[in-house]
Amino acid sequence: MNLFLKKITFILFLFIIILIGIEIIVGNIPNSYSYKDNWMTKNGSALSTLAIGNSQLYDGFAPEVFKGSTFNLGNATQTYYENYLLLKKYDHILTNLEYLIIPIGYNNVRESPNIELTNRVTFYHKYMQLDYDSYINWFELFEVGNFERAINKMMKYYLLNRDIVGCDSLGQRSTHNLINRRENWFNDNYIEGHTSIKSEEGKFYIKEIEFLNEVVEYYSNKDVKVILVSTPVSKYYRNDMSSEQRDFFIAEAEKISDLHNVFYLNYYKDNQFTDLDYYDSCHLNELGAEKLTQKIYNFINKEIKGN
Amino acid sequence: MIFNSLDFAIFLPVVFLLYWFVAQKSIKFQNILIVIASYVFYGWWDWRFLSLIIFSTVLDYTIGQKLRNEKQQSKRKILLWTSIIVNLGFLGFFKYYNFFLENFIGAFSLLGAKINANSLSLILPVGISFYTFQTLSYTIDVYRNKLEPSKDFIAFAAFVCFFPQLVAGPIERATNLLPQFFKKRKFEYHKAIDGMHQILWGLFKKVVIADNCAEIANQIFNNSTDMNGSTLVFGAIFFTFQIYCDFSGYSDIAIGTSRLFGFDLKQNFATPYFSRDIAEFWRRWHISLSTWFRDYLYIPLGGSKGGTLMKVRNTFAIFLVSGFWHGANWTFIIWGAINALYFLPLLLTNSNRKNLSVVAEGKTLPSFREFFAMLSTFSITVFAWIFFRAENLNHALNYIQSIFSNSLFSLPEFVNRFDAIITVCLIIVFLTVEWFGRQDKYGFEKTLLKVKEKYRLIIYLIIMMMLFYFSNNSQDFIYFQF
Repeated sequence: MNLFLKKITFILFLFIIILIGIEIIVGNIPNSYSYKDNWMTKNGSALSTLAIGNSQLYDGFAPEVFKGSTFNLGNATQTYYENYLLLKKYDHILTNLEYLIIPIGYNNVRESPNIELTNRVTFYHKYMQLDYDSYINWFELFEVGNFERAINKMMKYYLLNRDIVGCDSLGQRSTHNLINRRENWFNDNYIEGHTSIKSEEGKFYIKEIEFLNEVVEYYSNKDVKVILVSTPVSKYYRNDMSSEQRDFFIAEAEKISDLHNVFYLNYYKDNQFTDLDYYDSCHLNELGAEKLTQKIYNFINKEIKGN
Repeated sequence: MIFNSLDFAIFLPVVFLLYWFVAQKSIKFQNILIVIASYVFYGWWDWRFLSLIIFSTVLDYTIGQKLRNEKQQSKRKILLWTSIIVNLGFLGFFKYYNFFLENFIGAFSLLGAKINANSLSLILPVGISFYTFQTLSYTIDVYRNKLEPSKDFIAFAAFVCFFPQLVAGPIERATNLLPQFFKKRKFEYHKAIDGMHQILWGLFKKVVIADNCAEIANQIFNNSTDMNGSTLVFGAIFFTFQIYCDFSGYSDIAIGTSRLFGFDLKQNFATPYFSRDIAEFWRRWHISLSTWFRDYLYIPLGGSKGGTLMKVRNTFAIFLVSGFWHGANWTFIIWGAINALYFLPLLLTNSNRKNLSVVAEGKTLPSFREFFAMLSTFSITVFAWIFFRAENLNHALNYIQSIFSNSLFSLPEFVNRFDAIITVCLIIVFLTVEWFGRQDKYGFEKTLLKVKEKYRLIIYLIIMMMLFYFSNNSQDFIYFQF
């Protein structure tokens, strides 16, 4: 029996050593989370404009249009809760912040988070040192908790020599371009599967809106100009969405804007954005991002600065 | 609780350590621990259905006791039939009630009569088909005086609910498993190591092969109307490996786990896809169920002793019942009927026992003739599995019709071609291991033991990494639904 237990323990020990090794190796591969954390720590105090939010903003906001002191702190499926945790972390260095840009769209007020959200916890925890109130399980805290993803990352980075940071120097996603969009990009059905947004208590978005309110209120009180933005979506996406869904998030955005007296820019149906501006049905590509950012920039200059 | 879960990864070592370090002083303690652990294992899924297992246990134990003292044949028969009716009654109610109801309504509506009856929303208790057959084997063997009825209720309860094989077999005979609960179990190092090998190999089959095949097969079967013929053929082949690796993987884990506790279960699969004819396939596929039907249905019906007509009748009976055992759907019955039709020529020409030994015994490769025979048997098996996997008969027939179209000769189109190629490579690795281990009862362990220890260690670690890598695609065991 002792020999049996010794052997099993030895094999498990070796296996754990391998897992630790992989965790360290994968942890050293640069990614958008570690890049953004470093950038914010080094340059946060000089920032005047910060855009923070989910993939609609990660893709759709091009900081270079603002010509300096602007950064995109967005990431795929980043929630308002994560925005809140990030701003809490960097607040003490954001001493020169003037404008805070936050997206609001259907994805922010849907009924429940998608499964991907739990996968991202690892990144925020490990590379940005965010401490969540609770975790679904402790696997979330380690890259090897999703072993398939960890191994694939290693293969891409070390064997295929691919750059997997995924964002440019100012934080905008660099991989969603017009050139590499799929043939049937307009068929991406982001709406199906999370169509219910009934106002029932305890749903995911209710807590999310609370975090958004808290952030907006805090920065408004600090005299930072908060701008809520509904990013444009393609006509294909709009056709899939019911008027109930559309009206719901717009009403939420207007409610917050009125409550805290902040700006709300709704480009959801802006017909100046054409098929050429999209990466997929609800994300802008580099052309669309430049167009959107220019509109926000113009709004700030004209309506806020009065130039 | 399922074998490929974190829950089981914690449960098994805890029960193992309690079994060998706390309860090792007496067989009774060990049996009590097995009963408690098995009830926890089963209750993890749904505590309510534990009552069914406990009821069956009490009923069959009591009937066994009464059969011991009862000498009058007519009363013994009543006792036997009580057990059969009650056990099959539960199985019939939970598994087949809605099927019969819907078919009766359908049949009467064809005659112009309209019957109003509502189907019930019943949950099928996991493993009911397996433990029902296991307890029935006890009562029948006691009735036939082949087995001394158990005087020890705890040992009997442990036999009925033994957790490694409770929910998906192998279906153990009381004559094989029950006496093991009365013997002093001694920890045997080599047996435990063999058990661990078998658990590892079973997990590999399930997590790496079956679940990967499932992802592709599900995608193809669920969208079969949009697929070309060659893709549909691949879909059926992927399902063929999915069901084998899923079920035999479960059996391997069950047998391996039992070995850790000092028990020997029956072999349930013996490289069935290397069979040279369908009779050989059925001697190698789900052996515990096939032999159960042989001993408790085929032989009592007269077996092959009567005339040709009787042989044909009995063969069809056993295959149709076997199909129906798998589920309340016509697809399973047709699957059984197709296998009976495959079997018929062998039966009529008395060649169903031609291939009793393993293929290419003592050789590295099969002869051309053997290879062709294996390929033919495999092909007709793949065809039959289409019915087994399809949602209904229409789906199966449309699937087959689409295979035999012009698009059969076009290139297969997979949603993720890379995944399909990786899965094919994994199947090739798996078949190679199976081929070289085919002459042994549990080929993987024997093959592994021939490898030097340091290389064996590397193989363990590679398999463990693969299990981790593919664990994201985890699917339910197919046979849980039966």
